[in-house]
Formats: sequence, C-alpha cells, structure tokens
Amino acid sequence: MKVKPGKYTVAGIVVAAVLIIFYLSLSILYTGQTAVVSRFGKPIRVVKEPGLIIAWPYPFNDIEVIDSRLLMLQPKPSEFLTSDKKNLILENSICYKIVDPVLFIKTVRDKKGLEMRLTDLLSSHTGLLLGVEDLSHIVNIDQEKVKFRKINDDLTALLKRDCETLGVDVYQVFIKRIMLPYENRVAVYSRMRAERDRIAKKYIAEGEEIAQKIRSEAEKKSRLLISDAKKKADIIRGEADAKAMNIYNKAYRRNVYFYKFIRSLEAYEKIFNDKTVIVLDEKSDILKTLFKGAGK
Amino acid sequence: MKKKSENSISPERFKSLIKASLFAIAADTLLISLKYFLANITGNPVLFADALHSAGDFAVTFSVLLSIVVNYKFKDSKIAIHAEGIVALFISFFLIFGSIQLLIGVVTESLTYVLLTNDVKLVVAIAGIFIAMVIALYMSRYKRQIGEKHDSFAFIAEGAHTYSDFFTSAGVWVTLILSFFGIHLEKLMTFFVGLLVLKIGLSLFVQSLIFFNLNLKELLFDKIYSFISQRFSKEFDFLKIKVVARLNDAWSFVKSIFNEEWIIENRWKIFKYNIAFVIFLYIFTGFYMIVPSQRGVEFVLGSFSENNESGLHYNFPVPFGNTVVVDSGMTLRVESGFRTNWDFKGKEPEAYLWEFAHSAGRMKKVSGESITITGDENIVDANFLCYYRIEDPVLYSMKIDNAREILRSIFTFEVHAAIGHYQLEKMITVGRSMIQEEIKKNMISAMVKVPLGVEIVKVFMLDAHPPIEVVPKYRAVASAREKKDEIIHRANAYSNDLIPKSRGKAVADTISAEGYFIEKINSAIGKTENFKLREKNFRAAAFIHKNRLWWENIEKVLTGKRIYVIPSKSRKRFYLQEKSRSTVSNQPVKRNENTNSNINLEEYK
Repeated sequence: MKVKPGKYTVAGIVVAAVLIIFYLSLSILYTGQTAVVSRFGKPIRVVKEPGLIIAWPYPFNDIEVIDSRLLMLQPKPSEFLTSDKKNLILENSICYKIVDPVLFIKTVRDKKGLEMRLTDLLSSHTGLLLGVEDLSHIVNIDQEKVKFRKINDDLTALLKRDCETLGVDVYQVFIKRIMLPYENRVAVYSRMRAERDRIAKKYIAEGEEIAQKIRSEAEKKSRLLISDAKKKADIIRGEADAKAMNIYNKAYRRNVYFYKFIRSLEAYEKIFNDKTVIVLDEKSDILKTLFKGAGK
Repeated sequence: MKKKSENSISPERFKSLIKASLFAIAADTLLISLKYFLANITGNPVLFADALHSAGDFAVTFSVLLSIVVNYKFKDSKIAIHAEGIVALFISFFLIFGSIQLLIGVVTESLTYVLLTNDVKLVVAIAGIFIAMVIALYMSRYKRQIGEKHDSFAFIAEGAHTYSDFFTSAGVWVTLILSFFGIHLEKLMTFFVGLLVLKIGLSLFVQSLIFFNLNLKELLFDKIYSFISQRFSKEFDFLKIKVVARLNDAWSFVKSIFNEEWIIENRWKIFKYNIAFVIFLYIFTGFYMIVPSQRGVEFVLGSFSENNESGLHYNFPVPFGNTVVVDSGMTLRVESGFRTNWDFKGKEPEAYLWEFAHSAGRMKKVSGESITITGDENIVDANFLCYYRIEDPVLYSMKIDNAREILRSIFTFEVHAAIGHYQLEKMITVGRSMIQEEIKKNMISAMVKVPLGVEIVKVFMLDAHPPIEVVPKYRAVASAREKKDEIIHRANAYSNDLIPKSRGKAVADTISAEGYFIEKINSAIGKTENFKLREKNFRAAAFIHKNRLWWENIEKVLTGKRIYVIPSKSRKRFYLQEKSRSTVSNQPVKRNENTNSNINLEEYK
C-alpha cells in the first residue's frame, strides 16, 4: 500500500498552501471602516478607502479594522449643581468620528477606552460649565437670557479640543435631558398645584364678582322701574284729585248752602249705620218735631 | 432481538463489530453537529428536526454498541444489562421529549424560526445537507456490509435505519431548495420528521424495557393488536390489504427511483450536477428586488458601486458584494418622549387621556425624554414626533452607526432647547405651532452641523401636558372655570327673573293710576252733575225740599235703630256701658240680644 508521494501530490500540496496563504492575505474593507495595517505591532499603513486589502497573514502583518462611521455615545445621566445651588440631572450624547486611527490606537487602544475617556471628559466639562450658570440661564421665558445652546456649543468646543489628541473628531454634544432630581421635582409639582389652586379660586371669585354685579344691576333697574312707575302713578293720581276738586269747586260754588245741607244729610246716612244705638233726649228737636208735627 | 443475533461472539468478530459501531457513532456525531450547525446559521426548524433524527440514529447505534459490549464482556452481569437498559431508556426519553416539543411547537406555532429565501446561508445549508446525505448513504451501505459479513442482524437493521436517515435528509434537502425559491414547506416537513423521531423514541423505549424483563410489546401491543384484529377483523383486513399494501407499493416505488445501486453507479455525475446546482444557487443569491419605497445600495468588495431604484437587480453574492436596502422613499418617523411598539396586540385604553397619552397601548413612555423643565421653571410632559426622509442612503446606512438614534438625540436636544424658553401655559395652548416650527427650523440647521443624509419633513408636537402629578389640579381649574360660568348664569337668571317682573309691576302701577284718574274724574263729574240737578230743583221750592229731604233722611237714619228716649227731668244718670270687654274695639258690636256683647243701658242710682 505504501507509495512514494508523486509529483502531483507535491504540486497539489504546494498549490493548496499557496492558495490558502493567498486567501488569508486577502480581506475586504467595507464602507464605513478604516484599517490600520501593522507589521509586528508597528503601524505601517492606514487604509481609508473601502476595497480589497492585500497583506501578509497574521504573524507578519496585522490588520486592525476601526469603525470610521459617525458614532454616538450616550453616557448615563448625572447630577450637577448650578451656580444658584440648584441640582440638575443632565443627559448628554456625543457624536464623534474616529479620524486618525493610528493616534486612536496609540492613545485609547479601542472603542471601550475611548468611551471611558469621553464619559470622563464630558462629566468634568459639564460640571465646569454648569457651575457658573444660574438655572435661569438654562431655562427662561426670555429667549435672550437663555444660554442653553451656548453651553452646549461650549461643551462641544471643549470636548473637540480635548479629543483632537485622541484622533477623534467630536461633531457635536447634545444635552438631551434637563431634569430636576426627584425631591426637587416633587417640590415643583406642589408649587404647580398651588398655582392651579390659586387660578381656580380666582376664577370662582371672578364669577362671584360678576354675579354680584349682575344681581345689583338687576335690583337697581328693578327699583328704578318701580319707583319711576310709582312716581308717575302718584302724579296721575294727584292730577286726578286736583281735576276732580276743580270740578267739585265749580259745581258746589253755585249753592254752598245746599251743598252743606245735603252733605250733612249724606254724612248722617253714613255715620248712622245699622249698628248705631241712638239715645235721644225727650226734649230733642227730632222728637219734638216728631211728636208735634212739622208744623212748627 | 439484537441479543439473539449476538449470541456467538468470537474476539475478532467482536473487535470488528466494535470498530464498525464506533465508526458509525463518529459519523452520526458528525452528522448531528453538521445539521445542528446549519440549523443554527439558518434558523430553520426543519434542520433542527433533521438533527434530532440523526440523534435518534446515534442513539440506536449507541445501544447496539452497548449490547455488543455487554454481551461479550459482562454476559453474566445483571448490573451491566440494567445499565444498558437505563442508557437506552434515557436516550429514548430524550428523543420522545425532543420530538414532542418539536411537534407541539409546530402545531401551536410557538416555534421561533426564520424562513430565509434566496440567501447564501441557505445555499450553505443545501450543500451541507447534501454532504450529510452522502455520509448517510455510505454509512448505511457500510453498516449493511458489516452486518452481512459478520452475520449480525442488528447491523443490517442499523443499515436500514441509516438509510431512512438518508431519505429524511433528502426530504429536508428538497424542502430547503423549495424554500430558497420562496416555497415554504418547512412546517409540514418538520412535523413529519418530528413524527419519525417520535416513532424511533417510542420503539427504543419499548426495547429498553426488555432489559428490565418487561416486554411491553408482548404485554401490551401484541394484546391490543390481537384484540383489535379479532374485533375488527373485517376492517383490519381491509386496512392491511388496501392501505398498507398500497403504502408498501409506494415505498418500493420511491426506493426504485432512488435506487441505491443507481445512485452509487452515477455518484460522480450526481456529485458534479450537485456542485453545479449549488454554484448556480450561490450565483442566484445575487438577485434582489426593490419596491418603490426603497433604494438598493450596492457595494462591491466593500466600496459603493450602485444606487438602484425599484425593480429586479443583481449584485455579486456575499462576500464579494453586499446590498443594503434602505427605505429612502418612505417618510420615516422618530419619536421623542415615547417609543412606538408596532407589534402591540393588547388592549388599548378607552381613551388616550393625559394619564395614558403616549404611555399606554402601543405607546411606551420614555420619561427621561418626555419630562422636562419649561422656561417658567415648571415641569412638562411633552411628546414629539419628527418625520424625515433619507436623502443619502449611503451616508445614512453605511457611514453612520445607527443614524436613527443620532437623529433622535438631536431631536430631543432641540425639543428641550425650545421648551426651555417657553411658558408651560403657552406651549400647551397657543404656542403649539410656533414651537413646532421652531424645532423644525433648528433641526434643519442641526442637520448641516451633523450631516446624517436625511431631510427633515415635519415636526409634530403630539401632546404636551402637565405631569400626571399635577393633572387633577389642572382639571380642577377647568371645573372652576365652569363654576364661574355657572355663578354668572345664576346671577343672570335672577336678573332675568327680577327685571321683567318689576317692569310689569311698574306698568301695572301706572295703569292703575290712570284708572284712578278716570274714576276720580268720572265720579266728580257724576256727583257734580247730580248736585247741579238737585240744586236746580231745590232752588224752586227751598223750604219744602229742605223739610222733605231732612225727614227722608231722618227716616232713613232712624229706621231700624235702637232708640232710647231719656226723660229730660230725670235725676238719674244713665251710663252707656259696653258689657263685654273682651271684644276687640274695632269689631262691629253685634246687636243680637243673646250675646253678651250688646250694649246695655244700665240704670244707676
């Protein structure tokens, strides 16, 4: 069974070995990546354009692929103090890009190291910038007084300056979240509630005010109407009396004696009603006349 | 049954049988790991089922190996036999459990799987399964040859079993090819293979019980079988002749097509065709389809090559080319303050009140984003939405890591920056459109600073409301506003009631005075006219009329009255005394004598 390895076998092995080495020395660099080709640990070449990279297999050449896309880091939110001693919770995110892979590898080694560094820098710079501003410079009704955007831009500038030495270009820092710590928030809620109460009370009081006004107006108008009518009525009655008196005057003046006479008779009639008890003296004119006849 | 055939064992026979079964186990292990690997990369359930089937094959081979060892070395050891039984039992449980889980998964659709179509991974799986088929076929031949050579019935049976594994793999292979072209029969095939595995598991279970002197087959199955065949002999015969015979015919027909000898004869041809087929499939994976709302961005060897509109396109297959499909035509949305769960199937709230707005149903609140400080240092809960369109698919998809999240960050920043100089009242009422416009404007300028390859289409403020903790008080204010209106309405009602009534009274007063006027005048005229007439008359005969009138009057006055005449010379004094002092003085005094309220004249001396 034992045979000498033939020409073809040797050739096959050689070809296979060459193919394997060739395969191993080829790698594809995709869009959004850069590669640092190093020889025995020493960077010799930076490939920035995507395409095929030809380099010796591992021990001789080493290809380190580095993300060259725009990246974002979002460190955990942290608490800061403003110059007017108000606590604020801020959450930032940083958009950055690794522009110098060799410097990047030298200074922070990998993405994790960079993220650590960025988080530290961000926290320190944010504290620094926020410490000299009042809360009213971060939020304010007056747009002129708000320095929020300026703080953000300053933060970006500071980070940009610091990250230049890491081979990283910081595009922009975004303060994504501004919030008060829980205890302060509760206080704000209670203030807001009190304010609402105030507004509610004001509404009701305003209502009462208007209602009272309406009521008094109505009463006033009512009194005006009634008294006016009364006035008119009294005048009319007065006129009536006056006119009647005038009529009576004209008529009765013609014979005052007769008027007196019949008026007295009318008065008797009215005064002596059926309840009257009459006590007469024996010698009274009525009886005299009654008994002796009217002849006298 | 295996035990009987292994009765006479010589050392050489033992050695070669052990060698063969170890080889078979190695091959089965290879098959299991190959299939399991392929199942993992494709996520296809049918490959899991096939791996389980190979595991069954492995189990059977392993139990054969054990029985050989036990028969040769520990023929008299009861413990060894029991140990063999326990191993077989354990494996059978594993198979039964696995297959039942698979079947339940298929039936209840709780199986999580991916169905790939036109994918390089699937091509790998097709090639892999083909290799598995080849291995299974050769192993079945090998086992049968060994069995025939050493006159071992167990190995011949083993060969037949591995041959069925070959068929299962062939079925899986066909399923995968169909799947490649978009015909998905995976579930059906998985169910079928699951049943096969269950059958293997159950038969292994029955066999393993024999080791414990418990012949379930004789005890139970044979009895049931004989009972059924006696009871339903007619039906049973029918089943036997018609159905089973037909099935056997079909099976032998299938076997004749996939004739083992034919396959072996034409193996190179098949191999060549198969390689060509796999290469064809591989090249075919380069085709892809783009619908109008999408854009296909092609990369060749990592660098951008083409940007394709809708239609059928071709790019080099992975890893030489890769294609990213981007939803560039569609307007996409990014939320701030909440996230949308599109797959939400639960119950939505009756109404999206402030308590639930963008935090219930298919909305999930991110309170860290939504709750922020307003310009007047109040707290607001604001949810915004930004619509955008991808302008530069290459930049968006390849040169930015998670562009959507970066966009969200920028958006949230702009939202908070805008809220920071708004009054709470204003931003949730009249300032809505202003704040939207401001954020949109700032977003557009931010896109210049941090280019993401997107175009900002619109910014919406979905809802902004005071935090939940304060909401009841806000509603109380609304109630107070209503209360105010109510109070005013009540006052108006009073006014509306009073004024017309007063007006009526006034009119009535006036009218009555007018009436009085008329009455008075009329009465005066009447009376005076009467006076005038009587006076005229009186003047004609004054004395007579005077007397007449006087007497008439006296008559009238005195008639019916009580008259007391008192003598003028009497010394007695008379007193008028009212007897009853209880009567009210205003009340008319009754003249009735029965009452004690009349007036009596009493004499006093």
